[in-house]
Amino acid sequence: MSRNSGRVGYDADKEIDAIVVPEGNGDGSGVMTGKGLDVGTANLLSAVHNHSGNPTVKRERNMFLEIPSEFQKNKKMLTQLNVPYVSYRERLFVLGDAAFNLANMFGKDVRRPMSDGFLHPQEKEAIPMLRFIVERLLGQPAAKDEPVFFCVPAASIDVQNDIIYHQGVIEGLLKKLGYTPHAINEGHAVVYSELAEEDFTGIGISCGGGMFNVCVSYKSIPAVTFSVCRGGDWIDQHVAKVMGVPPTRVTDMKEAPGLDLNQPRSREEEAIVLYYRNLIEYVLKNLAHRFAMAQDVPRFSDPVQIVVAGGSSMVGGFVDVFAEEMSKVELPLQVAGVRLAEEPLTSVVRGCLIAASME
Amino acid sequence: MKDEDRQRVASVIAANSQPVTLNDLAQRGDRKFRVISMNDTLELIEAVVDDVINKGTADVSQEKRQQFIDEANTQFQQVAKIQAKSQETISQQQEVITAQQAQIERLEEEKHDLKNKYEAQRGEAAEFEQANYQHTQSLDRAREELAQARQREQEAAANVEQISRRLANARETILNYDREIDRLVAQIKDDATLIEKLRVQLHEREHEIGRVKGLMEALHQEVTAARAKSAIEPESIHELRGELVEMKAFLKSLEKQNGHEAPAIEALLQRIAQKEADTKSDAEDRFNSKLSDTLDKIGHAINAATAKPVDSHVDAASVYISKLFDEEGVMESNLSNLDIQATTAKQSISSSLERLKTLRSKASKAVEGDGDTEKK
Repeated sequence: MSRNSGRVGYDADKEIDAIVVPEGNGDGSGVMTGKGLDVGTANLLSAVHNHSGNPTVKRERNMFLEIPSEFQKNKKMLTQLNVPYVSYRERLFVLGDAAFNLANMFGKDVRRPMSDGFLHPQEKEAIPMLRFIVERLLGQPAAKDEPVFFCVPAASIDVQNDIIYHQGVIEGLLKKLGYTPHAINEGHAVVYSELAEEDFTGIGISCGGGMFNVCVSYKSIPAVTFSVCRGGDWIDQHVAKVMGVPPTRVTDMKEAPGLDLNQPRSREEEAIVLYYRNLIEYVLKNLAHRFAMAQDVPRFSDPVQIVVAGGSSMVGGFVDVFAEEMSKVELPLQVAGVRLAEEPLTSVVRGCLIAASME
Repeated sequence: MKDEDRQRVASVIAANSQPVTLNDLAQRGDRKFRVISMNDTLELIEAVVDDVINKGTADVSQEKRQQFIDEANTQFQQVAKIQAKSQETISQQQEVITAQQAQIERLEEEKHDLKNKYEAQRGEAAEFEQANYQHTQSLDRAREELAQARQREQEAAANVEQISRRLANARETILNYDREIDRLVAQIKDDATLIEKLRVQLHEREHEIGRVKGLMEALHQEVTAARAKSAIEPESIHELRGELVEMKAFLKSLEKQNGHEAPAIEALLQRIAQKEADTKSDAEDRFNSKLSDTLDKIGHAINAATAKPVDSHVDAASVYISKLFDEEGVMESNLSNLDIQATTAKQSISSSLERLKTLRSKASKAVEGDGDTEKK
């Protein structure tokens, strides 16, 4: 889900087709109601239907930065610069992409409402900041009690975590905004958006900032779901440590165009590639271990397709390395192939929107 | 012209002229030069002066001419002195100017160094300020975390202390019950010993009664035999009857004694057995009940100290979330004034949606078909 890194070759300006999106669908326009929300560790995305048939997607980084209180006097200037801020308890916070850019500019670390796929346990301002960003993305409901499908991670096989509180808070937050919330597993959302040609049978993997989520699906029904608690953030933290730079700088390097896991061009890129390969190997070993231990893995008569999505899968050469490492592990099912989602960054949120449209 | 006059003229020329290199002249644009030596110059001047004087003073007497020459010499010497003095002053001033220029250059260098130092220190100050800000932030966060940790530690310590007190109370209660059980067990053992003693006495009495009955039976047989023979002496018969009467009286007394004590013994045995059962049962019940209560309390205390989330889903919005935004009034944002960039996905979801609906529809029909089959 969370695409901490991802966005290799992503040029936000070029991809913008529209700035203003009609929020109100209750005007008899014929546009379907229901929204999708990808609650990621690094990015938050929303998706709504529009007249063109292709969903309209909004994205904001799931992070914030506290700036010195002297800037309280410059709120008007921040608004003119299109910098979203929240003034809270006599402190000033900048949200989303603006926070990332400012942190990168001044060599500081951003603060994150979420960590490893879940609400950050030590971050006191997590919920208020998350609420503001989600409100900014979703806007007001188009109709009373409009359904919103939001993604949640599966239980991790390598770390003890608890989904109940996280899911409860997100549900409460959406209810507070006037929506009817429904949770959907993150890997299952990838299956919805990417495996239609295979009758929603196969394995969907969401490679996010906080974790990798896996869903084995048969005819759209999730048979096995689990997660591994490492993602793009893990790479950022380790590369930042060994290179002596802030993690945001590493994120920026990862998102720079041209980075290829098979052809690093600098010392920094070599470090990124090293940790990327280590992460993929770790994820696949855990995946094989989970499959080996499980009694609930369905038996497929035909080889199944694996599709990877999420921001962390967007780096050049990811699928090649993934397939290479996969050939080294034994899986209790035959794999037809591994492919990258056509739009990895929006795959989960589009899956959420599909689920919302089925309501 | 005298030699000393020539020297004066040469010094005047030297004082009023400047040595210039050919390069400097070339830089000015001069390309061709005429060169004349100092001696030639002096000879020319001398010739010109003599010529002028000769022409201007042709009709002047030799005496007058010598007077002019002397006056001219005097004036020339005065002018030469002034010229020499001026030259000295100029030299001094040039030395002062050179020294001041050197001073200015030194000051310029110092100024440049100071400027570099100022820039470097300003950069360091900015970095220091930045680092100081980050350290302050880190320190604040660390303090908050430390305060939270201390609070958690205090709470944990309080919980542990409370649990320890309860455990001590529970241990004391268990010890009291152990003592009560020991006392009851000892009492039961005493009662059992008494019962056993009474049983032994009863058995001995029954044995004695049997033995006496046997004796009476033997005597009765002897009496019967004697009557049958009728040959026995009346004294002997009388004696035997007396013994029989005594024996009967003894037997009656024994039976009477035995008859009085047997119900008492039986009642005592029953009472002891009942008491034993009641006491044991009651003590066990009370002990088990107290022990259960104590264990429950300990369990509750431990559960409270090591509570984990209950594995059930609750509606967080109504329970907790609304409280999270109680401070909404003090929050201010510009989000409503800003547009957020939106992109249109290249990939449509309509085909996926249609396929999913079709799949679900087929699944529903299949389920309905199964239901119909089951009904049939």
